Amino acid sequence: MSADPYGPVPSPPAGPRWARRTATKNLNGAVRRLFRYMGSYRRSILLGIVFALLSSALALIGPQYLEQITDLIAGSIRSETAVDLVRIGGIVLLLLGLYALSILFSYLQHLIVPSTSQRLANKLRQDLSAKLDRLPLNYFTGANTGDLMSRLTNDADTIGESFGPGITMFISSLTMVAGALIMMVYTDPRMALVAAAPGVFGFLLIFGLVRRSQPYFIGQQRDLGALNGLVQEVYYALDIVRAYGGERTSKDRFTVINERLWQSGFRARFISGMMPRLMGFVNNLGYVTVCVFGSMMIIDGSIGYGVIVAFIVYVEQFTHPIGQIADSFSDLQSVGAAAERVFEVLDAPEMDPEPDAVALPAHICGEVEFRDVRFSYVPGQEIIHGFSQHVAAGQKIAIVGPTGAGKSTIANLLMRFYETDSGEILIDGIPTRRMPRNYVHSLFCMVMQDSWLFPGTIRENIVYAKKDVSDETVRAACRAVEIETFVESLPQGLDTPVGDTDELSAGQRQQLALARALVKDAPMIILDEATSSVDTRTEQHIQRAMDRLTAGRTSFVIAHRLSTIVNADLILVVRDGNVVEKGTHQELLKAHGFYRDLFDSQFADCN
Amino acid sequence: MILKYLSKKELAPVIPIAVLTVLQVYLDLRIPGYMEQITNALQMGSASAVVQEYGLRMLLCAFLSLACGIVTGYLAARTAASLARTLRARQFDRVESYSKEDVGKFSAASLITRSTNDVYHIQLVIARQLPNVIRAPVMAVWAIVMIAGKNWEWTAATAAAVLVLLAVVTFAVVRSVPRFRRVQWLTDGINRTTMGKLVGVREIRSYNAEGYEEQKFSRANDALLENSLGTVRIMAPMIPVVSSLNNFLTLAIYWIGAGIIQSTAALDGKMFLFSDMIVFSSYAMKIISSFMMMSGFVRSLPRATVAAKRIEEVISTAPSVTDGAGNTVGIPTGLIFDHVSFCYPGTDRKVLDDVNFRVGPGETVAVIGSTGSGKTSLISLIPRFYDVTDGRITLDGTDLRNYRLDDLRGRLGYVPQEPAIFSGTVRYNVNYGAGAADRTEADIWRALQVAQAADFVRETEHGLDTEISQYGRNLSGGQKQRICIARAVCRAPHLYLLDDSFSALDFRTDRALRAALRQETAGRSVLLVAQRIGTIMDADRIVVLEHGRVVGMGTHQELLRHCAVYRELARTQLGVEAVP
Repeated sequence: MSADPYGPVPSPPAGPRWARRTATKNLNGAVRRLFRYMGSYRRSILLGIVFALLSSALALIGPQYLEQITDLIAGSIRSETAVDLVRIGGIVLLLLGLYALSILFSYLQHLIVPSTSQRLANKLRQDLSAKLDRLPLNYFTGANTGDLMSRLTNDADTIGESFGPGITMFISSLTMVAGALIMMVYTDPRMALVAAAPGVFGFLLIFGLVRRSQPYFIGQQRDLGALNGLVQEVYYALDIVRAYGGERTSKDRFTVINERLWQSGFRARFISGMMPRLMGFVNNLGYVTVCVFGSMMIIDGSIGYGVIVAFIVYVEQFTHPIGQIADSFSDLQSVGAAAERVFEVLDAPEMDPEPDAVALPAHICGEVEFRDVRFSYVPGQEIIHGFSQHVAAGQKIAIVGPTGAGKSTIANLLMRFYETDSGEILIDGIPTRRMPRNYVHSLFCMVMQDSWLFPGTIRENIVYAKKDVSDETVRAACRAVEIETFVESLPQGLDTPVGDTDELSAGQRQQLALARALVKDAPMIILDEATSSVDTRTEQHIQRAMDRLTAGRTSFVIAHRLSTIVNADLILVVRDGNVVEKGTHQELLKAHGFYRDLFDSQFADCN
Repeated sequence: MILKYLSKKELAPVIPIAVLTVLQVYLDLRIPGYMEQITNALQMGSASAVVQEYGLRMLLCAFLSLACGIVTGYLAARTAASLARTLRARQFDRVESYSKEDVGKFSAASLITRSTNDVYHIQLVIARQLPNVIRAPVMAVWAIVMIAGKNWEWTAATAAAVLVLLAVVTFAVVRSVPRFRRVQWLTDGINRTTMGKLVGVREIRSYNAEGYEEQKFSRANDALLENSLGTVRIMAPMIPVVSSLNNFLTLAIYWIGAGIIQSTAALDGKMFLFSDMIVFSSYAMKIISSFMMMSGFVRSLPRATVAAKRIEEVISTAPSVTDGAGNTVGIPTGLIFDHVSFCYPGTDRKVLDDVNFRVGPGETVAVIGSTGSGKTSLISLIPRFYDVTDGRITLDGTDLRNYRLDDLRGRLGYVPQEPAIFSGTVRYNVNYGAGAADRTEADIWRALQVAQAADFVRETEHGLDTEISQYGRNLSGGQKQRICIARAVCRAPHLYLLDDSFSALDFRTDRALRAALRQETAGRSVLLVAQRIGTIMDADRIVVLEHGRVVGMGTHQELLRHCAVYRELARTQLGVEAVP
């Protein structure tokens, strides 16, 4: 019943390609940057463009020969001589050759350009994925995920699908129009004027149409978005709608949007349907003007019949690409917008570079020291104000505080997911800032709430990137977290695939995460004891597993259990991210401060 | 077909569309026809009058054709939009009347797609293809008729071109469809991996698994590339071949024409043949383009039929939970579960097994149990989101199934486990549903006060008129839950149903809220489902569920003494020290 964790279902794209306004701040700049980014792929695209131009050029020559054939036939009829079949045959063969060559070039173009485009998308995806590893953790906040996801998938795809073909079609259409115009002028300048006029008229018409139609498409997009939003909201909250009799209010809201969408949808569709009809009209008009004026010129005696035949083809070659220019231009706009979004990610500031290699000890005892640590997530809003504390190896530190109080801040700092503003954290006397990040990571086992399992087998999830782990070790870990019997009851045992689906309960997932931590076997532990919606038996398994995990290791535990708190060597009381009190359980109780309050409200009723 | 959902009035435009489309085809084909006449005249000798007259006629045809096109476009767009509007409304009505079981058959996400994307797709197809469906075959047939009388050689050449077109298109479609499906599947895989990287970033870093994830990603990325390249290779020859068909056909016609004219003796025969030749190529072009139009339509058909079928399924599914007769008894006995058993529809497993308990008027009864014990299913039976499989539930003496749904639900104040927030004002969210018009501003504030939410609402700039964004994104988890509780309180229901509604609150707020609620609900019944023992300790009666069966019933102290399951639960939550 809860909302889809991956976010709302996206609205369908509204309007034909040529009318979708995707705001590019700087189309030129974005396309240029893409070209630079492409590196060696540039050559392939340029080659593809060359082939497209060659293919068009050949197509433009064709009508010249058609003109010749027609004139030969007409001439022979007029002069009542035999048709020179041999000569015509020669021209036909030549044309066949030209057309075949044109097909070849076009085929090569359609092979090279989309392939290169796909390779570009592949490279983009790879680079984006690698970039993610270098970005600081605050880039991955919840609000960002959907948008980030869209950039890595939709935007990269858009570039892959449309960049190559878009650029190629744009350039070749422009060339075709120019080429057709040139050929028309070359063949007969007066006819060229007459033949091109409808095309130019059509082009202006379309230009105006695109401009005027923008508001309709924006309107349709807006209404589709509103409809989507309402439908999603109601369908996901149907329980409440039913339980409170809210059907009518929802229906009323729905009807308002539905009616608006009827209007905007009808208008938008009408306008987008106009373009092909207009193109058809322009085509007809071109045909008519060529035929009429051509005929008058034939009567004059200034041209032969073949000119008309040639021009009929040229008119088509002139007007058809105009529509394609509009289409490909909008494709490029989409690509430009997508490229801008992708480059924003690639340009995002990365984490600090790693320090120079320093001699790292082979074995870490687990002594931790915080020295006057100051930290703020948001500059100017300091939440840790000069925290100092020494933790001996093997000690257990409990972290408590109200819900959502920022208890994981300390964990974030220890793991160097975030850097302190000032002050240092030392492990075995060495400042963590002088250690490479992945070394710091290797010193801790971290098990937080809702631990993530990736799509893979149980074994893969437990071993997770550690090398040379024997099955025996994996089984021992399963035994320690008390999930071995369950795993063995599965038909595929350790090879059972798990992932983001729900074959496993929340408790079982936590057990696997604990097993993973055990296998990693790092000298220190960061642990969140919260168990979400777990049944008693599993809860007990998990609690025992947690005890085993923390035995003998320096542990930082976000505590939820009475026993953990009471037995901790030190308790850090966190409020709004800051450590406000610290001490042992008895000390803090006596102080009658915030801790006492918290403790009473949580556990008081049981004595 | 799906068009049956249109009213007579909305369907009416189809006739003019058909007529005008046929007219437009006629006009389009007339233009080359006039050219033929002109060509004949030109060969005969001076023909300026003919040229002018026919020229004007051709112009007229072109303009009239455009006019027809505009009108048919207008009508088609209108019809499509009306159909879309109807389909959306019908689906919405249906889904609102569905029970949980009905929704479960489709999944909420699928229903959303059917109500939005699928309808949009149908609208698109109808608006685009309705004229084409008529136009393409009419044009093809008419053009064929036009050329039928002429030489068989030309006809054969045209037929050959059409066959090549069909062969190429079929081949491309057949070969590419499985590939496109595979591309979709591979893309889904990449999306999932990417999503994983975003969601699991902490785990990946803390386990230094960046390299491992990169490898996985590269494999998926490269597989997608391979597949896409394969598709490109298949599709590459298609466009060049199809677009050059016109060129080849024209060439063939002129070559054949030359030959035929040569072998014809009569001069005027030659002349007629010449004009025929010029015009024939125009008609042949039209035939090719109408076949292309038809293949375009055929290609869009599968997707459209799938969408239509999906929409049909939604509209034709009747809701499984409906109103009862409505003859209520009205004895204030409260809520009684009488030997109730429940299996989810389509399954055999008993989620609830012979459950008996009672919530008397003014009583607060708590249900506790671990996950999978059947707590949430129990609550969903009361508003009749599902119906019982065995036994019966009565409210104030009447079986729930005899109530009219709006009557039954009007007596309940349901607060779900996951807070449900609507986009709208605070006022809309709290004073929600049937009877909203009868409640005053004071009622709303009182409800907020009880729910411990009045403070944060008062602190906002617009108070009750503060806008809450979709899914309540600008609220914290605790605030959302309090709004949901306020919603229930605002109704002043006979029976409160609280499904683990305090989980997002910290202990302080939880206690304060329960205290306020206790006051507010004095005299009303409360059925409370919870995980935390701390929340339920002072209930009048606690029902302990395990695996769907009632294993203990009584007060907190009684259960500590007599119920092993309850004791274990307490021990786990409060620690062994607290529960000896």
